[in-house]
Order: sequence, then structure tokens, then C-alpha cells
Amino acid sequence: MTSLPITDPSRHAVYTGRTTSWPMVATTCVAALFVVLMGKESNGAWGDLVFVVPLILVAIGILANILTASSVRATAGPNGFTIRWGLFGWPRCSYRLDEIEHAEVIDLPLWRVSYSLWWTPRRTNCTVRSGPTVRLSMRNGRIVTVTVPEPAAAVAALREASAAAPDADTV
Amino acid sequence: MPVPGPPMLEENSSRALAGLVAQGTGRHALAARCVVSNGPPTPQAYGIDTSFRDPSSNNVRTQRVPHRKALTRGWPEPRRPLTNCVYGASINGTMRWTIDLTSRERLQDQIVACVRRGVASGELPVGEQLPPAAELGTALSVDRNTVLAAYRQLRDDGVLEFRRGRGARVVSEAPALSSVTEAAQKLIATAREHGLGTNDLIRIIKELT
Repeated sequence: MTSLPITDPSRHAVYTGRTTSWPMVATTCVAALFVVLMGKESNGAWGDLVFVVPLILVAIGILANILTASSVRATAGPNGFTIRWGLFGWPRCSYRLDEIEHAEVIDLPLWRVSYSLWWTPRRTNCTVRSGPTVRLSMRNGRIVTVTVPEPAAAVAALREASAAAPDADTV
Repeated sequence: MPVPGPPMLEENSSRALAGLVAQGTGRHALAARCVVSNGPPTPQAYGIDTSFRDPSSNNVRTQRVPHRKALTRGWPEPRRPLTNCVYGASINGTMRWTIDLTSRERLQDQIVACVRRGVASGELPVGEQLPPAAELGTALSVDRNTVLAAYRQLRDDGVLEFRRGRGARVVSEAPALSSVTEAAQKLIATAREHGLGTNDLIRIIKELT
């Protein structure tokens, strides 16, 4: 048994985590290879706009997928919970501490993983793997599920920040 | 030949952490650490050390909560770290930053200390990428240039390296903390001789720093 020191209200504790989706990167690279091989097999169709334009669109989609869906960076602390995707940190979702009603760690099954940013009117899923995952219940009813390397540490940082905030309810 | 005891494997992240809040019984959990034992296959072999504040004494206590699946399914003795049971992505780049905005110590130095602690504890292995300065500055409520100054100081000390397009990465392992531990043990022994307790020591250190 170990005991932690009593939380200092003046302390500013922030959790940062990054999860890289290597299956997504590998799948996208295989898809890109498939597109290139398909172009080579077409024998002289490279100059045909009917073929080239969809190919370029597919290539742009693959590039965008690599740049945005390859990794998830999450930050939890007194400034709330922020999710950034990909190399450039975009798309980005930020949730202030007073917007979060409840934070918990759930066990995400493999068939519930979105492997990308999945947005619906009631849910936001940013999951790239199964297993322990942070789930935020927002005050507006939205459910946010995010893959974080150490979800318990992220939830603990949110709760510590909430406890230190004078006017915040319990997360 | 001495018979070694059952090995204990402590993980910071694993599937068993999923039961943290479910097992937290509504208390204010401050931190949690998953403990997986390779000893006898008892339900307590899979557990979560949950720290919470005791409302009666206002102290922080830690309690090991058995994992719910271990209780219901009777998990056998673990053969490998449960982290490997997570499918779909690699787990990397996790770090806890703690700074004191009211401290007399410069914010830049506090960030440097955070990185050094992370490297020393293994949270930041060699090759690990640190968060971008702007993101970390926003999260810590400090200026981006303060984080950049801390990163530059660590680069000058040989802890980090900057690469175009790859951000700041850890390049060297921190020296072992054994010397600090030895000095702390000497300090504690000296304090005991003078009749000082733990709280007195902490107060003196806070006053000095």
C-alpha cells in the first residue's frame, strides 16, 4: 500500500498522452500501394482524365487519412480535455472542465473501435484501439470516447483539477 | 539456493484499469495504478490501487480493488503483461506534468524538472516525442516561449534533440536517482536524530526551495 501526498490546490497537474494507430498507418499504406499498382496495370491509362482524377482524389484521401488519423494526442487538466489528431493537431476538440459532467474509464471492445474520428449528433468517438478508454459525459448530453494511453491517469487529472476549481462540480 | 518469491509486475496502463471507476464506489479517486501479480492466481492478483481522499480524516488513502473480471471469470495466472492484450494501436507518449504557479521556482525550471523526472522514471523513453510547445503551454497555462525555453535548456543539456518536422525527442537516459535517494536517506536519518518528523522535513524543504 502506498499513499499519495495531499493535493495542493496551487498545483497545476496536467496529463498528456499520445496514441499512434499503426494499424491505420499500415492499412492506408497498403491502400496507397494498391492504388499505384492498379494504375500501373491500366497500361497507358495514366493520361486519361477519367482514370487520373479519381486516382488523385483517392491519393488525397489517403494522404489526409495518414496526416489526420494516424495518432491521437490528448491533454487533460485544469483547462479541460483537448483532443488533437494527426501530425498537425487537426481536427481538434476541446471540452472545458465545466462542460464535463462525468469522466470515467471504460473497457472498449474491439468491435466498438472507430479507428478514426467518428462524429454523430450525440457522440464523438476518437478511438484507435480497444481496451481502457476515457469516456466523458458532457452536460449537453454528448458522449465523448477517446483513446488515451493511460485513461485512469487522465481521469485522475480531470478530477484533481475539478476538485481544485472553486466553482466546479465533481467530474 | 534461495527460492525467489512471486514476481510482481506493476503496470501504469492495462486493460484492468477499465474497472477503475466501476470499482471506485463513488469516492473521489485521485490516482490509480494497476498492479498485476504473477503469483498465485487469486482475484487479488489483478487489482487496481486507487488513491482517494478519506472524508473523515481528510487524508489520502490507497486501497487495492480487485478487478471485476477477475472476480467473475476467475482469470488464471497471467502469463504476460496485460498491456499486450490491447489491440489496435501502440501505447506511447504518456506524461504527467505538475507545476506550481505560486512557487518561487521559475516555470521554465519546473517544466525542465518534469521532463527530467519523466525520463528518470521511464515515462519518457529514448526516442519519445514531447508535446508541441504551444499545446503544452496552453495545457499548463503558461506562455509558449516558456515551454520553448525549457525545451532549449534540455536540448543544451543533451536530454532532448530538435528535428524539423518531428518535434522535440528524448535522446538520452537520465542519470540514475540512486545518489538522490542515498542523500535523502541520510537527510531522513539526520532529521530523526534531531527529532524531526516527515512533515517537518517537507516544510523545511519547501522553505528552502
